[in-house]
Amino acid sequence: MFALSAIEHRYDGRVALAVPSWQASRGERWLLAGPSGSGKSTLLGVLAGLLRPTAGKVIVGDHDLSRWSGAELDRWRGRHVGYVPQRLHLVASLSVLDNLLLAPYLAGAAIERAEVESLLARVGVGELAPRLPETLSQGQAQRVAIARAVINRPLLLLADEPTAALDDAHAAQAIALLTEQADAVGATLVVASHDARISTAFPHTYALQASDAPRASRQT
Amino acid sequence: MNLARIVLAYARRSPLTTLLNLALLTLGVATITLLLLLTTALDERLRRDAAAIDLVVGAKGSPLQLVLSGIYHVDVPPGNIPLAEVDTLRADPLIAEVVPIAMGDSFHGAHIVGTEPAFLGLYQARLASGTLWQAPMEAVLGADIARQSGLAIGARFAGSHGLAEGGELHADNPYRVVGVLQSAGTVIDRLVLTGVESVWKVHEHEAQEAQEKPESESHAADISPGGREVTMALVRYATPLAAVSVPRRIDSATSMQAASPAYESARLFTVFGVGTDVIRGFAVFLIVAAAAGMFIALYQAMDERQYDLAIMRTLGASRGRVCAMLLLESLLLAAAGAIVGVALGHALLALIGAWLPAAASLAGGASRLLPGEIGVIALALAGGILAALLPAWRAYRLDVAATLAKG
Repeated sequence: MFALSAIEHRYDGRVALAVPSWQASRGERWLLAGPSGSGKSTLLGVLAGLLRPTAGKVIVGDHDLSRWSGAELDRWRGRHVGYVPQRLHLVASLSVLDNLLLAPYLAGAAIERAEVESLLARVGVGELAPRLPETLSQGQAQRVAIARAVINRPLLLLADEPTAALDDAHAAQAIALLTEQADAVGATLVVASHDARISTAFPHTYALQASDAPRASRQT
Repeated sequence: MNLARIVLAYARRSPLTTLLNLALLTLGVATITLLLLLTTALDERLRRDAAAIDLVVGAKGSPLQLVLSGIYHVDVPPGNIPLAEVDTLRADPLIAEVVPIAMGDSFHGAHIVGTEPAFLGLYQARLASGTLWQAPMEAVLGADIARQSGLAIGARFAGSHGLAEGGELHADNPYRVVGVLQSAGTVIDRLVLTGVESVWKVHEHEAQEAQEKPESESHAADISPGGREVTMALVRYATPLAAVSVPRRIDSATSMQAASPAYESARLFTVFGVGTDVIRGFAVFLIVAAAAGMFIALYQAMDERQYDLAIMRTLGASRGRVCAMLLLESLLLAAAGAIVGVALGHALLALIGAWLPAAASLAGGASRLLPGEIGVIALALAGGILAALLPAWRAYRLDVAATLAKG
């Protein structure tokens, strides 16, 4: 599904991310582990085509992302990448339904309103469609954000620290929902997290080291 | 989902700010529109009234007063001129037409003008019914006066003394209506026309009184020892070349004075043009303030909006698209303000026309769009784009990964 090789990303001359090699196949579930500051979010940004690494090669699907222009990357990302940011970032001015409709609108995908409503029902927030995000609980907002990430049936579903703010029960539910939705659309799932509670849910782990530690990464 | 829906959602998010900026913009655009419509209508009206008249000849005094009283009938005339001198003008080969007018009385505030039938041609007027005056004390009513007074052909009325309302009635010498004019869209709609002889006849007794009381000033065309007098003469040139010599000759060689309506009304326009410039400047200031308000609102919202924009980028929107979205959002608001403002300007003009009978003739333009209004709309749209330029640049430069990570 994707293959990274010799990735290095620098901020202000400091190495913020180093990934010698990482391959994942279609439909796999990966935990991207590592302490804070090891570059987990940066690596998700690289996978999503939001960041161009300073060096290295990023192949996703059949495409070499480094060859594409910004606009091509944007178009590809809209159609094939689902991203659940840590703070969710639902658009506060738009209703839950409109937050979901925004994804196919911006990606240029033809998705019917009925399809959006049935997805909202499947993730358990069907009755919240007309509400504004600020009226939702954290758990409800996360379900909406996950639904927004999968509405375009992405090949790659990325989630950044999805369980950081949740108790055990909700953390387990969030991971269950992510894996369930990734399986439903056949997407490769990558969850960046340093949360030890969820590691058992992932057959595969890629661990990043803190950037000041000796550069060695582990793939299991 | 579409752009309008997103724009509306953001506008609703801070309704008071949005409404305030829209109100400022609307008021500015409405003010300029109203001003534009009014000055255009006024300018056209003044031109139409004076279209066929090249020169007003009257007693020495203010040339502006001659034009205001002789053509537009909004002032009292300065004094009288001898009919004999007017008749010498008729002999001038450079002059095509001389139409004498005698004023002094009014009816319901409308000037009663003693003149010749050629007067109708100067103001593009035609009879709607009846005939022109043939004998003294026969009168023809302008369309507006006929409507307002309700007088029909055959009706009698007395003129009141002087050109202001409330003068003593000449009840002993009533006029008889013999004709009514079609509406011409000129000042003739608000005049009562009669023969010069009628005006003389009404004032014969006053001339006698004046001789008995020498201190009382004769106010109107009268019989005086020197012969018949009229108030003014309206002159149409035979050739444009006449403008070079005729006015100068009249000013220097006769007891009369010549005034050019084109020149005097241009002078008048420069006087109250200062006033309209001030109002226009104030309206432009309103539009600029609205644009500044939109800029501040949008720029402040960027702190919150940057996360929305970052999310839109991750959902597939390009840099150009988020940038264009902000510009279009601002442009749509400005367009809404501009359209409502232009509509409000037209509505205000119609309202003014309905409330003030004197302005009714100017309100005719309420239903037409002037080229200048396109300029006003363009100004408002430019304000909208300017307001969004800096926020749009910020959106274009947005570092999506860093924004999502820090949020």
